[in-house]
Amino acid sequence: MPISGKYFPSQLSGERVFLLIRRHWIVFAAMSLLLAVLIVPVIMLLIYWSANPDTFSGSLGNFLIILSSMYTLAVIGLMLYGFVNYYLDIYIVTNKRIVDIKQNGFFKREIAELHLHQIQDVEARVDGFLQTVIHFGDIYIQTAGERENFIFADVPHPYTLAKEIIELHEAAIEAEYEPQMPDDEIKADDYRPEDYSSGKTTTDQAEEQRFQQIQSQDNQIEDSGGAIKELEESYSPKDAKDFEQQVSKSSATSASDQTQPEVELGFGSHDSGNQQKNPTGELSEGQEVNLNDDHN
Amino acid sequence: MIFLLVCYFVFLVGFIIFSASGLYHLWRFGYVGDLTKPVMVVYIIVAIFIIVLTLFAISLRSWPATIS
Repeated sequence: MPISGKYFPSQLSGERVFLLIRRHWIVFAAMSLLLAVLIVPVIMLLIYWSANPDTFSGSLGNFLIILSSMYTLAVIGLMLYGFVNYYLDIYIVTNKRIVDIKQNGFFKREIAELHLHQIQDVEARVDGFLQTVIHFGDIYIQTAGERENFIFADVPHPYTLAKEIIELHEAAIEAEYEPQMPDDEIKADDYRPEDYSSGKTTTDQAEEQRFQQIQSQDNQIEDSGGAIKELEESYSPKDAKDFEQQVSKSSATSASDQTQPEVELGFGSHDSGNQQKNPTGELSEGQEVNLNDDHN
Repeated sequence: MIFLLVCYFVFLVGFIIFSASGLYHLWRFGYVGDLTKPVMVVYIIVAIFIIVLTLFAISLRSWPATIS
């Protein structure tokens, strides 16, 4: 499971820390035990002095106070030195590389890096009674080329760690020949929240624009159909009735006079209005014309 | 006896410089959530306790110029 957040200063963006390994606690415990043994004489002296306060009087008492104080401060100073030497030795394994940080006392620090794809072989060694019982040992990582091998000394559960390093090495090789995941390519400077607020990707946005174009075209087609619809609605039922009368008249006259022209059909209210008889004396349809009429 | 006091205070100066360098390393190269901060606190408390106790004992006793 990767460790989240930026765990060390030189950690790259998109680099995830999988292992943060320190030497087994037994290494520091052995040193601490030795130093604790050195503190015991001072503790015994204090106990004896508190029981017999007149034993150490005068200059001897002054001398013992100064000496014991200096001795105790030196011992805890050595403990601090040992802790810095132990605790700041770190082995970091990420999804891209291995970082070996070695702290040698004060003001001496060594950092070595190795890319995972440069690993040739990983070997775990457990040698000794204490190592076998407490499960700690060394891991030897063979590198390609002239680089020195990486050694993880006195690490806990070396077999498990070696296996995990091999798995990360294989995953790094596979990732090298496969396209990167989109989230690895997104950098902080390129992130724009408005692109992701609706949960849509750029591909979805392009498709949506295309869909809107098609929809607008459909709307145009519908609009032309509406014009046709309006034209149909303008043909009122009254027009239909007039048309039927005309048809019936034409069928009646056609039976007597075959030479009569066919009835002209008119559409619209303006045409039917012209077919009606005008009270001023104009001819209606079908009416014969008498040229001898005297209109005076 | 005064000479002993002088030696002790010189030692204290060196101890403070040594401790400051060690604490600086723990503060700078420690990571989030590790033991560096607690160890720094414990070390400072223990060191101050020992120094204060010693100075208290020095103040209670007489320090002649010569060794008697």
